[in-house]
Amino acid sequence: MPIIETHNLTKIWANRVIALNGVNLTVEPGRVFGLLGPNGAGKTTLLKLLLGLQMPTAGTARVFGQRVTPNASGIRQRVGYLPTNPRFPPTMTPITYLDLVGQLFGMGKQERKPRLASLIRAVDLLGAASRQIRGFSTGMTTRLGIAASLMNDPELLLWDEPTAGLDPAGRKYTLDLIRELGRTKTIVVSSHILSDIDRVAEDVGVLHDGKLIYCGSVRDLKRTLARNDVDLEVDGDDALLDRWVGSVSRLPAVLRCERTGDAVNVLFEPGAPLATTMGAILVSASEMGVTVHSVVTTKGQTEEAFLRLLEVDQSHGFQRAYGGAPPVANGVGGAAEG
Amino acid sequence: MAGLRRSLMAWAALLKADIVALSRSWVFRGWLIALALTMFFGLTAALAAGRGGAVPASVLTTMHLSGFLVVWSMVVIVLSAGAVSLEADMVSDGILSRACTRTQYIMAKLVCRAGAVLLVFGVTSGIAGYAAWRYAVADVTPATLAAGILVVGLAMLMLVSLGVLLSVALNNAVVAIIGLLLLWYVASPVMAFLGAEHLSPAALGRDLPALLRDRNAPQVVQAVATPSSVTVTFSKRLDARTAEAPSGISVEGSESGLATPGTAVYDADRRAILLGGLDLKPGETVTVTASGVTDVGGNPVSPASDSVTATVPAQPGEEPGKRTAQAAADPDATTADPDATTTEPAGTTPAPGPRADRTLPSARAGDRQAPRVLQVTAAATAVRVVFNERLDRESAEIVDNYVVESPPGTTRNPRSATWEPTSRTVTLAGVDLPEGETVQVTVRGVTDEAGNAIGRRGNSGRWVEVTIWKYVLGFLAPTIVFSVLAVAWFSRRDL
Repeated sequence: MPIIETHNLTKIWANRVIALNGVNLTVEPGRVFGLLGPNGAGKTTLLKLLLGLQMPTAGTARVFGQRVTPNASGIRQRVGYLPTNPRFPPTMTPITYLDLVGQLFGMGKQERKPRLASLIRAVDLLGAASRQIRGFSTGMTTRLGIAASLMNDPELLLWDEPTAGLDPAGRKYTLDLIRELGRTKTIVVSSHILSDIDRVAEDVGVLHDGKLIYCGSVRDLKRTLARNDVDLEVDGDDALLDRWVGSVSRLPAVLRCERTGDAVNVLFEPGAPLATTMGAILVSASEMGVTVHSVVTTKGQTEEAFLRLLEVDQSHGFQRAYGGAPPVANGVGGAAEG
Repeated sequence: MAGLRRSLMAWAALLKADIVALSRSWVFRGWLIALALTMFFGLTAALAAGRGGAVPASVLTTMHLSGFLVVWSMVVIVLSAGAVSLEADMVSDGILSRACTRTQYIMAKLVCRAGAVLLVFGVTSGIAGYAAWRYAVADVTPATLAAGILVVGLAMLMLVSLGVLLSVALNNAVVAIIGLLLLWYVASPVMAFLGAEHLSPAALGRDLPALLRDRNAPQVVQAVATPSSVTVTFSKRLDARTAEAPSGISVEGSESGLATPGTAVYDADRRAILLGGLDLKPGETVTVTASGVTDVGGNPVSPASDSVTATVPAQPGEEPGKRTAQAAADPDATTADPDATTTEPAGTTPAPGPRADRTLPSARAGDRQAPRVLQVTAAATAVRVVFNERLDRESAEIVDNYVVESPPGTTRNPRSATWEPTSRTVTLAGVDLPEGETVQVTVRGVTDEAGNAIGRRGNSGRWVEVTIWKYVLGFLAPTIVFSVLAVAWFSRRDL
């Protein structure tokens, strides 16, 4: 049984803003699911609907097989939620706040106190354990939110942009923690930082303008949307570079070669032998005296795949309302409908 | 069971968290400090100014209670209207994303805010009420004090529930607070439109003195006569100004005629007036009428019991006595009413006709108990008096045997009296009763079927329109509605 299942989930704010548009999402147990999307795509709205913090305008959401409602505390009993840039009672301290959270989860004192102590230690807030939350930095607040989300040892974690506002060390710590927790729990992580999702998620759902335009495994996403192109950083005078770009464009397996300053992008024909063609390009550069500083292949990059997805979605235009189905993967991660 | 325990634990945790937050709030702390200071200085000043009996307790208590209605209600509005909206930014992230329900959250808010306001209000009102009752002119009773405090407390409770509702409905705390301030302070036209003007703060403040004041009329209890003086004892404390006014009390001797007291000295501790400078004849019966006397609340002496008779001792040195007075006033009193005291209010002097029946053979043969009034009820133009036994129809239907007062002190004349033996009820019809006033009926001269005349005990009854209920229901019903709406609204709101 899927842990999360939404059917035609739609949220329209005050008849003015469409936050979510008919989202059909399935998350299987034991997976780390990345929710990708640019700012304003509807990621936070989707997570809040899954917690019953917001009411759907249409459609349904089920978590652990139960329909989500505002008073569905039984569902939240089994969920750990980390909001984006979380806000907690400002006059409380980490100890008093985690104690409150433990009581809300119905934990007895004997269970609650040791757990909050170990979590405060784990998120490195021991030094600030008795300080009021109002003076905390973004990183400290996020770490406290992580501790709060783990207080009840939940089966499902819903973490909304957990790396937002963190310094590189905090970001690495959080991503490592997600990987660690992903071994025993189901995790839904939302982010607009593609590399974060790429590092931790096995499955991914891509939201764009409130619509789920992809839902499947990360690997399938990359494969489906892979482009055979290469970015080169070159050096030389303009006339020389233009001549070289012209010669590359005439190579048999090259569909297009474009230069923007020192950057050159080469697009290959589908199925073209990449190594052979690249060899020919580099030989040509060497013969004409063009210096090549770097070669970067975009194939397999989540970021490229994601951007490609957005382009495809937008290119469908009015078809998005009817037949413009997004790429759908058959992996375990789930399925999406257009 | 485990679910209930967890649910209660979550609610208690939310309640405790809000209590802690409230106790750390500077608005709440500032309120306590301001309240303590104003109470201390206000009460001290008022009591100092009123030393000597100038300030009635009802006025002092009204000052305190009106303070809550007019001034401190602003703090109550801030505390309640900001209950949810002031933490709207973190309630979703920090609280409701955990395993608690919105109902638990709102109920915790309501209980905490209402409890805090009522605790502060109750403690301060208790102190103010006690101080007023103890040290000011006691024109209140513990019951009227409790009623006044209860009514204003319920008004505060309603204000809290309305505040929490607005704080749920409006995300912005400032808008909620301003909205509630407007609603509260310009409530009169709205309440008048709804037919409940008495529930507006202005009307309640205006009605408070009447609600607090003791409205029981004083009664003449006893008179003791000597040739040169008469001491008249009353059932409660009197207004010294009226008690010591020579025109307030008249003394008429059966032989010496109408006499004017030379002096009238009021003894507040004994609740008695010593009328001096009289020249009464030994052995004569004097009738003292205290028609111009009022109690400290301004209630005039009940017309049904504003007179008393006493006998001047015949022999020098004879104790102004009970037997003499009793014999003169009511020779059969011990037969009809074993509890009758030595002197008897003139109002209960037997009427010529019915009282003669008290010596009927049946009375001597068996039933020797005087009839008693069990209950009095009143409608717009009729008063029903229920007795404990069947009455003699002839005496029961003499309309002059009934003194109807509404409010106590103001006599109303019924046109007819009709005896209904099955229900043992006399219906006094054609009485013009003012709305919302207490009705008091005093019965005299009525006999039961055995001929026993009604005595001094159990000869009156009182019907009080339960005015407090119109406030209790008027405030309690909206409180419940607002609370339910707050829960329902919050349960449907996006966070």
